[in-house]
Amino acid sequence: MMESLSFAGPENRVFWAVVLIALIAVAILVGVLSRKRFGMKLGLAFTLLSVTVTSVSVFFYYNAMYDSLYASTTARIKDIGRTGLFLFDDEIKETILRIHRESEQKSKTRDAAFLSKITRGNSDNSLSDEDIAAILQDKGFIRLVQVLRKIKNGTREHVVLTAPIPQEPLDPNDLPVIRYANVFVPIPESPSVEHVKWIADTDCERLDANKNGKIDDDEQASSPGMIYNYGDASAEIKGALAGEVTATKGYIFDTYGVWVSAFFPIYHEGKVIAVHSMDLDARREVNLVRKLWFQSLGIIALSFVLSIVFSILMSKYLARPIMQMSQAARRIRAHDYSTRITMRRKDEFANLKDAFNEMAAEVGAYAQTLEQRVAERTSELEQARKETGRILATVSDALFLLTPEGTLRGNYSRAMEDIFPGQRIAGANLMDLLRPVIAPQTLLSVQTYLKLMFDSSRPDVTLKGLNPLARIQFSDGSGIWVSSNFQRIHSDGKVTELLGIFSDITPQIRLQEELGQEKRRSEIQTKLVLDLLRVAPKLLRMFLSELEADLPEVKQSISDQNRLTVMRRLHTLKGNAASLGLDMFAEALHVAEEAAEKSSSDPTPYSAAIATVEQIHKESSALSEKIRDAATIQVDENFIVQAIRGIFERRGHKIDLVTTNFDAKLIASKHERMIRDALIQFARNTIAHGWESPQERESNGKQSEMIITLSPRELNGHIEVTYSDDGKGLDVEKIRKRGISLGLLSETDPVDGARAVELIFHPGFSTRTSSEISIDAGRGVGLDLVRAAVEEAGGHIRTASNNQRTEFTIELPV
Amino acid sequence: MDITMPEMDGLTSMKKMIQILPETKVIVVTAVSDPAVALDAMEKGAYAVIHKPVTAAQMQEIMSTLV
Repeated sequence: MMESLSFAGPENRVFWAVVLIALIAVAILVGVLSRKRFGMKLGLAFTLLSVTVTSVSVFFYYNAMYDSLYASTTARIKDIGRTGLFLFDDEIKETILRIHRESEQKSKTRDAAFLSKITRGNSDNSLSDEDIAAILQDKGFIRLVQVLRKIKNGTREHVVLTAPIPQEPLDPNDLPVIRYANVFVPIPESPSVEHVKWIADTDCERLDANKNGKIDDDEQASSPGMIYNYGDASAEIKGALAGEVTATKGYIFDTYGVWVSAFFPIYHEGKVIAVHSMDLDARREVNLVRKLWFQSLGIIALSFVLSIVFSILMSKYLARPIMQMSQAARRIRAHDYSTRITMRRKDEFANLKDAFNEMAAEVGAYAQTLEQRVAERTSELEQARKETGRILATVSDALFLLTPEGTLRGNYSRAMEDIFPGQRIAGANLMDLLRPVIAPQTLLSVQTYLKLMFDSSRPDVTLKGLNPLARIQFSDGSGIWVSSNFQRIHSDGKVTELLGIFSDITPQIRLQEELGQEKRRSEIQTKLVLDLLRVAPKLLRMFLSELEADLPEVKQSISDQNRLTVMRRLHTLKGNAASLGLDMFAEALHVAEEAAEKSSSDPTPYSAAIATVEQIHKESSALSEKIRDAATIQVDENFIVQAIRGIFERRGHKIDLVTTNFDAKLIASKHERMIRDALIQFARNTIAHGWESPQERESNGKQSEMIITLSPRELNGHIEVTYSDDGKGLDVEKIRKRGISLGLLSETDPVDGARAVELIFHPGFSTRTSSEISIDAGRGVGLDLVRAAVEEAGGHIRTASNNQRTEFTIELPV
Repeated sequence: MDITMPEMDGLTSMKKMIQILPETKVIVVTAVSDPAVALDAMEKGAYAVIHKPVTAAQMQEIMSTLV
């Protein structure tokens, strides 16, 4: 009735190993996945350790419990069997031998084919039903069955040992521990004791135990003479046949329950005649083991959970300082140098914390210094950059840096954009910038020059004066003039860059041109002045007014009708100019005449030539005005007045010269010299006769300086020029004596003022002796000649004198 | 070395001279004031170009770079 099942239950120790390996594998996997979290790693190690320890201890505990439970069960069934064997007396042993013998005689043929049909755990009857029924009625057999049933029922809670014991349904609340007991013998056809023959069994009758109205598989009878394949326990059976008490190794599981079977040898007359076997219902024990298994699993699971929780807490506790430090380190990295770690610990982390804080302080101090210095340096650089920018923006020269490749650097002065308007300067090639504005040959020269400049083997001095752009006019129509200069910038003995300086020198060039024009113009003017000075002013004025009158005529545009007239006019003007010696006019008019002749093909030169003539005329008119003014001024100030002033000043006499009404224009130029000579003579006369010292004047109630008045005026169709002084007047007595000494008067001739005046105009009259003769008076050649000249010009001189003043008036017809 | 010369012009003879004696430093002395000619001479290997009339100071300045 027994069937072993392959069941991978907790009893399978391989399962444990697999579980353990799986756990380790999972742990390693999680470990790999969590390799970036220190806390998790720590927790995992902890969990792994605790689960391993728990599992191993539970494993050993469970195994020990399992083994001990099994051992006690086995011992129990063996003890029951050994005790039960005493119930087999000789009579029963003889019955066993008899039934064995009789069943052998009545047995079907048990050939190999018959046996091979009976597979392990199955059976077949070797006797007919009649023979079985006969045996079931046999008294010896019944006794044997009763013995077996006693053994079985002896293992119930409520032992019932009354005979005969029927095969009856068992009380499910009081099942016997031994569920089956039987006797069997080996058969000669099966020497390996795979197949055995049943002699008797507690369940030898068919019985509908569960009362379902039919005989179920487990209700089949185990009849005497039944051949059973007991291959599952042939080793134990062999042991029993050899005289040992044996039991199956481990629990046997089948459809009906869990079993431990034991085999006992039945001795008769010193020989083992049969094997007594019984099956113990081990469900209670197995349930115990099962319970233990689930408890163990629970313990492992609990330890797993607990260790995880604990390890999480632990790892947090352990990892916290590390986390703190890593956070602090991150803050320091974010330049928060005030970061400090605080923790209430006294372990190695405390030392680490102190070291960390010290380091943070040092790094902070260092970084602060560094940052400060960087900030200072940055602001210096920024300042420098701004200054450079301002310089580059304001400097009037175009500054730039040129690389050996011929490209311009990004920093250049703003003036560069004025020289190359609309061009992208930064990174541009200098040749590209220059190509549109200079001639191709010059561009080639520039290329050569720059190549030489970058050649550091060429000394500076040998490159002097080779710059083709030193002074150049752009040929792009802008006409700007540019001067340039290139300076080498050395680094490690090589020329790494050139500092280029472009300057727009157009204004200077223009100024030079203008100065040149101005110079030419002033040369023309000088020449013109010389020309004009050679010509009498009146003739010049005549020529100029003649030209002015003709200008409208010659200025008009020339046609075939008027060409001859104009040319004749120009020719006449040219002739006049030449005859007067006005070379400039003559030349300009000559050019105009020639241009007029050719004006039918091209009128432009003619209008230009006439413009020149007009220009010269304009300037000549202005100059002639100036020349006349200059001449007039001379008459006014320097010629007459200055002469009078000079006479007094040479003698150290201070006078008060009044010329308020002196209008020099009233004096005709032909009279200028005569009037000057006259006035000089009058002045001499004042000094000779009318002079008073400042003291004399003051005592006479006059101002200390003598008043001299000069006043020409136009009156009733004639000009009067009056000279007067406020001196002491003519010395009549002195004049009388002089007149007598010259034989002009007799001693008795009376002399009054009018007579005295008459005398002083007498030729050779002088009141001073020759020793007294001065430059200005006393020569006697003065007033008489003056009078002669005035009278010759149709005028005359009036004289008035008293002791307060002397007055001479020259009267001339206009 | 003069640029304008009979038979062979100065620059060609200079090139030949440098070919034969590569260590030679040729100073071109010329009356041609065109800077393009001077640059041409420099490119062809002249050490320096001096325009006539040559002053002692000028010559001394160039020579001092050779010593």
